[in-house]
Amino acid sequence: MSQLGISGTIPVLLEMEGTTEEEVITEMIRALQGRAEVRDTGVFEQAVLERQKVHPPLLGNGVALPHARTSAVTEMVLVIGKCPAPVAFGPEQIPVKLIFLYGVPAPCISEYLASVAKLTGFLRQPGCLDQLLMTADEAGFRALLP
Amino acid sequence: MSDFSKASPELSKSMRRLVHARIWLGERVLGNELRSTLLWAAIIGWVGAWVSIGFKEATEWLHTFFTGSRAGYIASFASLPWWQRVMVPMVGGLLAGLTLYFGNRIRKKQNSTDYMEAVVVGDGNLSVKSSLVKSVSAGFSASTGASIGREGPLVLLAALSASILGRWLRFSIARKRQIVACGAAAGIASAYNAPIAGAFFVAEIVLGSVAMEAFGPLVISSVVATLVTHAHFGTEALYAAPVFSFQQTRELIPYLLLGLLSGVMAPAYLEFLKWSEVGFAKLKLPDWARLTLGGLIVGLLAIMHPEVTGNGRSLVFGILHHPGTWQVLAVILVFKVIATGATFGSGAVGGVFTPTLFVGAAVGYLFGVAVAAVLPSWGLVPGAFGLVGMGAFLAAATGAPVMAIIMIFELTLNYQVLMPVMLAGVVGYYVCRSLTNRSLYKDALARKGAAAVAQYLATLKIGDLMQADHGTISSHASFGEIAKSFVHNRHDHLHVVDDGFFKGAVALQDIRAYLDQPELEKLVIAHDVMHDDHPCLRADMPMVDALHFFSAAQSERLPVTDENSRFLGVIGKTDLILFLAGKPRDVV
Repeated sequence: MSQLGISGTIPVLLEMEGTTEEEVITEMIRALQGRAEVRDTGVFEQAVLERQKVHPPLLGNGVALPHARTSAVTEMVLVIGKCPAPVAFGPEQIPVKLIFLYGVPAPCISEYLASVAKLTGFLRQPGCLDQLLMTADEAGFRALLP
Repeated sequence: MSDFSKASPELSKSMRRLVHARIWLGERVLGNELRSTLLWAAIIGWVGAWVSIGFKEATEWLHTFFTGSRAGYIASFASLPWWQRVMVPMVGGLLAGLTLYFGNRIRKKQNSTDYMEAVVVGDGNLSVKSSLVKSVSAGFSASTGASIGREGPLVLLAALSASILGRWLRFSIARKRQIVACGAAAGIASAYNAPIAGAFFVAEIVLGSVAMEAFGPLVISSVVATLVTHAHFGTEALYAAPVFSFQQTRELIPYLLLGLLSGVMAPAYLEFLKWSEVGFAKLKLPDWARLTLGGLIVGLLAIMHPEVTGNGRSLVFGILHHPGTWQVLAVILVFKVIATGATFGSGAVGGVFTPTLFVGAAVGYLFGVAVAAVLPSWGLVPGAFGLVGMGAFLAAATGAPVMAIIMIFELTLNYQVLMPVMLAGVVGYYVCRSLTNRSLYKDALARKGAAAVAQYLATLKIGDLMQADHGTISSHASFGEIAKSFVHNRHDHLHVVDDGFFKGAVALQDIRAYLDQPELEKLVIAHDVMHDDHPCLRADMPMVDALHFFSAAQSERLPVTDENSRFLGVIGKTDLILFLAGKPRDVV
C-alpha cells in the first residue's frame, strides 16, 4: 500500500483527451474499469459529478481533487490525470491541469482525510508541482509520488 | 507556481490554535458533560451549605426570642415555668400553622414542594413560594420545641437553590433533577456534618441509585457543603461518642439480636407515625388549628419531661455520654415517641431523621442494659448498644442501610463501631422489609402522590427529554466552518442537517489531526467527512431503548428525529443516564 493509502497501482493518465470538467472525470473513471475495487463506474461517475456541483474541490495552482464517497467502490481508489491544456473547473471556470480523483467508500473518512492531507503536504513542497507537470512518462511520474 | 501556502486559508492561525485548544480542553477537562455537572455540583454544595447555615442561624435566633435562652432546647425548656413549656410549642404551632394556612391561600399554582418528590418523581422544578412558606413554617416549629428534625427544611432550601439555578441555566429535566438532588445532598451533609452519608442519603432514598453518573455529583456537592459548614461551625463530630471498643467476636451475637429487635421495632414506629397522621387528619381541622394542637401535646408532655422538645440531638448525646437510669430513659423514650407522633402527625414541616436516631439509640441502650444484666461477665457497655442501635434502627426505618452505616460512622467518627453497625443495620433492614413495605420516606412520597407521577414518568419518551441543537451544520459546510463550529459548540459530534432533515454527523475525532492543513479547507465539506450511518433516535422511543444506541455510538449526545427523519433536537447521554438512574425502581 502506498503512503497515500491506496492499494494496487494508481492509474496515471498523462495525456488526457477530455476538454471539459465532465469529460476528464469520465475519462479518469474509465481508467478504473475492470478493477476489483470498483463495483460500478457509472454510479461512481455520477457521485463525483454530483459532488462537483456542490463545491468543486480546487486546491489552486491548477490542481483539482474531485472525489466522491460512494458505495460504488469497495476500497479507496485514486486516479491521476494531467491535461495538456488547462480545463475549466467549477462555476468560476478555474483552469486545471493536474487532477487527482478519489473514490472513497462511505466508512473510510479517516483514510480519505489522511490520504488527502498527505497528498496536499506533498504538493506543498517547493518545486514538486512543477516536477509533476513536467514529467512525461508514467514510471517517472509514479516515482515522484509519496 | 507550487506555493500553496500563499493561498488564503479560511481558518486563521489563531482560529486553528483555538480549535486545538478546544480539543485539548475537551479531552482533558470539558469534553464530558458529566464533568460540567460536577462543577455545578460543587457550586450547589457551596450555595446549599450557606442556605443551611442561614436557616440554622435564623432558627437559633427565633428559639432565643421565644424562650429567652440561648441554651439548647432541653435546657431552655427546663428553665421555663410549666405554663410557658405549654405555651411556647403551642404558639409555635399556631404560627407555623398560620404560615401554612395563609401561604396555601396565596399560592396560586400547586407545585412540588417536597424535595424528594422534586427529584424522584418530579421535573426538578420546586416552587419558590411553596418552599419558602414551608421553610418559614418549619422555622417556627423547630425553634419552639416541636419534636421534629431540621433536615427537612435544610434540604428543601438547599434543593430549592439548586432548582432555581437549574431553571436559570435552562438545564434539561434530567440535569435539573440531578442538581436538585445535589442540593438535597448538600443540605443533609451540612445538617449532619456528614458528606458521605449526605451523598448516600440522596442516592439511596431520593434517587434510588448509586450509579456513578448520579452519585459522583452528589459526593462533590456533599463534600463542598461539609467543608463550608466546617469552616463556619467547626469540624467536631455531631455526636462525638466515647471510644467504642470492639474486642471479642462473641459480642457480635448481642449486636445481631439488636438488629433483629430494631427490625421489629421500626415497623411499629412507622405504624405509629402513620396512625398519628391519620388521627390528626380525621379531626378535619385547618392547618393552624392542627399544628396548634400538636404543639399543645408537646407542651403538655414537656411539663413532665422537657426532654421531649427539640429534634432529640441532646438526648442522643446524653445516651452516649450520660445516660442516667434506664427507667427514666424508658419513660422519655415513650414520651418522645408520642411528641414526635404529635408533631409529625399534625403536619408540622420538618423531618423525623433526628427523632428516629434517638429512638434507635434509646432502644439500643435499653437492650444493652438488659444484655449486660444477663451476661455480666462479658463486660458489655450499654452506651455502645445505643450507638449501634441508632444505625440499626435508622437502616430499618429509612430502608437505606448503606446510608445508615456511613451516617453512624460520620456522626461519631468512631471506626470501631462500623462492623457491629453493619451487621445490625443489615439485619434490621431485612427484618423490617420482611414485615412491612413502609419506610420513613416512602410514606412521604406516597403522600405526595408519587405513584401518579411515577406513572407519568413511565410514559415519557425520548422527545420529552430532548433539547434543541443550535450547533447543526449543513452538508455543504466547509472544513473551516466545521472547525469553527466545533469551537463554538463543545461537542464531540456535529449534526448535519439539510432542509430540516438529519443527514449524518461529523466527528471531531476524525478531523482533529488535520486542523493544521489549510489546504483541506478548500477541498473538504461536511458531506465528505460525515458519518451518514450515525445512530439517530426517534422522538417516540422509550428512554431505556436509547441506551443501546448510545453504547453503539460512543457519542455524548445523539440526534432525535421524527418518523420521517426530520431533525428535532438532541438528547445527551448524561441526561439519559441521570434520568434512568433517578427513576423509581419499579418503573424502570
